[in-house]
Amino acid sequence: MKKHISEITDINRLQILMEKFTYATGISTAILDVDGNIQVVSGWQDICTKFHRINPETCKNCLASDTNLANNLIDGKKYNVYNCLNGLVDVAVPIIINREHIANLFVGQFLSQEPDLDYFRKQATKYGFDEQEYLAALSKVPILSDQEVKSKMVFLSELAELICDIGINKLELIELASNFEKEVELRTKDYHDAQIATLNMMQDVENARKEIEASNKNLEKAMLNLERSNRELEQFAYVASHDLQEPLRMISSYTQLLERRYKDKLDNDAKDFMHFAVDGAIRMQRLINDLLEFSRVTTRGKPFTKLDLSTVLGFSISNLQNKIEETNTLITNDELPFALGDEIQISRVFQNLIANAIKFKGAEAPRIHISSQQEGDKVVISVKDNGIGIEQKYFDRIFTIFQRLHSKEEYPGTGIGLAICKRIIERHDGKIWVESELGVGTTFIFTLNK
Amino acid sequence: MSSVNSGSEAIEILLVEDNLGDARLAVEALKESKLKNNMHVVNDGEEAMDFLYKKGKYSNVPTPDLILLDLNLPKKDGREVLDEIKTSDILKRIPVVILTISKAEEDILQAYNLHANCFITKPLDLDQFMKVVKSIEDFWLTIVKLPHHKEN
Repeated sequence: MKKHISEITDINRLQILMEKFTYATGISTAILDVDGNIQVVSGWQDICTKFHRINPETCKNCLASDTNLANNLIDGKKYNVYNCLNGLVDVAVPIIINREHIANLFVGQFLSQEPDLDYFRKQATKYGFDEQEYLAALSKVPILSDQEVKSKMVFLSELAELICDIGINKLELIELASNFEKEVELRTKDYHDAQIATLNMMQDVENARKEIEASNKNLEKAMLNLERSNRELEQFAYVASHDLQEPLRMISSYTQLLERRYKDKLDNDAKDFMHFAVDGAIRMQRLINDLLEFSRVTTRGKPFTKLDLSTVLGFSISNLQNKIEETNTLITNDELPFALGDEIQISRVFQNLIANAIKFKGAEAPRIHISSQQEGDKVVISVKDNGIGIEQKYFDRIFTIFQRLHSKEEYPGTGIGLAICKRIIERHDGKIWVESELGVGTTFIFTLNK
Repeated sequence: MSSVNSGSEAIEILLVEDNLGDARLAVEALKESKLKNNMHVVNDGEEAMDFLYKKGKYSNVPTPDLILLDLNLPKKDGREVLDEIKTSDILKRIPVVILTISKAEEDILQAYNLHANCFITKPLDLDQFMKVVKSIEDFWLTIVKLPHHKEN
C-alpha cells in the first residue's frame, strides 16, 4: 500500500532542515504530498504569502503552478522548472520511494533576472495590492542565475534522493517491524488458538469421560438388574417346579390307587380314562423334574476343578451300562485331556450325548466315538455316532428346552437333554454345536477351558 | 392323628408328614402289609416332639419303633426334629427314616450329618411308593435287630 510521506520521514526534522537551507541560501522551499497538501514550508516570500496566495485570482495561479510542477514530475523527470503565472520561478524535485512518487520538493519564489517592475506594478493595480508594499516584497525576492539554479538543483536533487533513501530504509524497517508485529500477532493468535483448542480438547475429554462414566453406571445398573432378575427367575423355576411336584404326586398316586383297589369294579372305558389321567400326570411330573434339573444347572452347580475327562467319561458310560448292553452299542474313545469343570455336570453332558446317540440309532448297532483336540486354552470334545442324523435346519432348535423333532411314540423323552447340555457347557464358558448328515450320523462338539 | 390298630403285638410307627395325601398313601401302603402295625400320623414338627415326649394330648401314646420323617414341615422343620431326636438320650436309638420328595445332594448330606438312619426320596410312581414303604417295613421292622425300648 502506498505510504504517506509523513509515515516514512520525520516531517519535523525535515522542516528544520529546510529552514536551515533557506537561511543559508535565501531560497524558499516546500514539500507537498502528491495530493498538493503542504507538509513542509520554509522562507516563503512575502510576495507569495502576503499577496499572491491571499488574492483568490493570484492564488489560482499559485495552485496552477503547484499542479503543473507536480504533474510534470510524474513522468520521471529529475526536476522541473516552471515560470509561475505570477512572474516568479519555481523548481520541483520529486521524492520517489520504492518507485512510488509520494511527494514533491519545491524550491522557488525566486527571479531568474531583474524583475520587470512595470509588470509588477500592473499586477498590483490589477489585483488591488498596495504597490509600495508589493514592490518592497518583490525586492526581497532573490535573483538567481541559471547556473546558480542548476547548482542548487543538483544539491536539492541529491538531498531529495537522500531523503528518499532514508525513507526507503525507514519503509523497510516499518515493513520489517510490521511483518514482525504481524508474525508476533499471528503466533500469539496461533498460541491462543492452540490454548483454546487444548482447553476445548480437555473439555471434550472430560465430557467423553463423563459420558463413559454415565453409560458405565447405566450398564452396571442394567447388569445388576439382569443378574437379579436372572436369580429371581431361577429361584422361581426351582420353587415352582418343586412345589408343583406335590399336587401332581397326589393326582397320579390316587388315580393309581383307585385303579389298584377298584380294578374289578371298573369297566374298560374307566380304566382307559384313568390310564390317560395317570399318563398325563406322570408326563407332567417328568417335565417338572426336567425343568427343575435345568434350573439346577446354574443354581446348584459346584465349583470347577481340574477333571480327567477320560475318568468322567467312564462314569457316564457305567451309568448307561444297561442301555449300552441292550443295544449292542460300541463306544470307543481317544485318550482325553484334562479340563476345568463341575464333574457331575460334565459327566451329565457325556451321558446325555451318548444316551441320545443310542436313542436315535440307525439300522445298525450304535457306534460312538469320543475324540478330542486342543485349541489354544480350549479343549474341543467330539461325540460322533452313526445314527439317523439331523437336518441342518434343526441344528439350533434341538438345543432349545422342550423342543423335539420326533413324536413321543417314535422316540420318548421331554426334549430336555440337549438343553441341559447347552446350559452346562455355557456355564463352563464353552460352546456346543452339532454337525450332522441325515442317514449317516451326528457329531456333537463342545469346548471346555483347560 | 390317625391310627391303625391291628392287635396287641403291633409295631408302632410315627409318620411326621404335613401332606395329608402323602400320609394317607403311606397308611394305605401299610394296610397292604402283612405286619401288624399301628401308624400314628402327626402334621408338623412341634406335634412330633409332643408325641415323642408324650406331652399334652399325647400322654398315653406308645414310644414308636420307627419314625418316618418328612423334611419340609410347618412350625418345626424336619431337620430340627431330627436333630432333637438324635441328641436326646431317650429318643436317639429310634430309627429315623427320612422320607421326602427332595433329591438334593445337600439335603441328603445334611440329614446323614444329623444322624438320620436312612434317606429315601419318595418315588413318583404309586407302585414304586408301595414297594418303598414295604421295604422300609421289612428292613427296619423284621430284618434289623433293634434294642428293646418299651421298658424305658
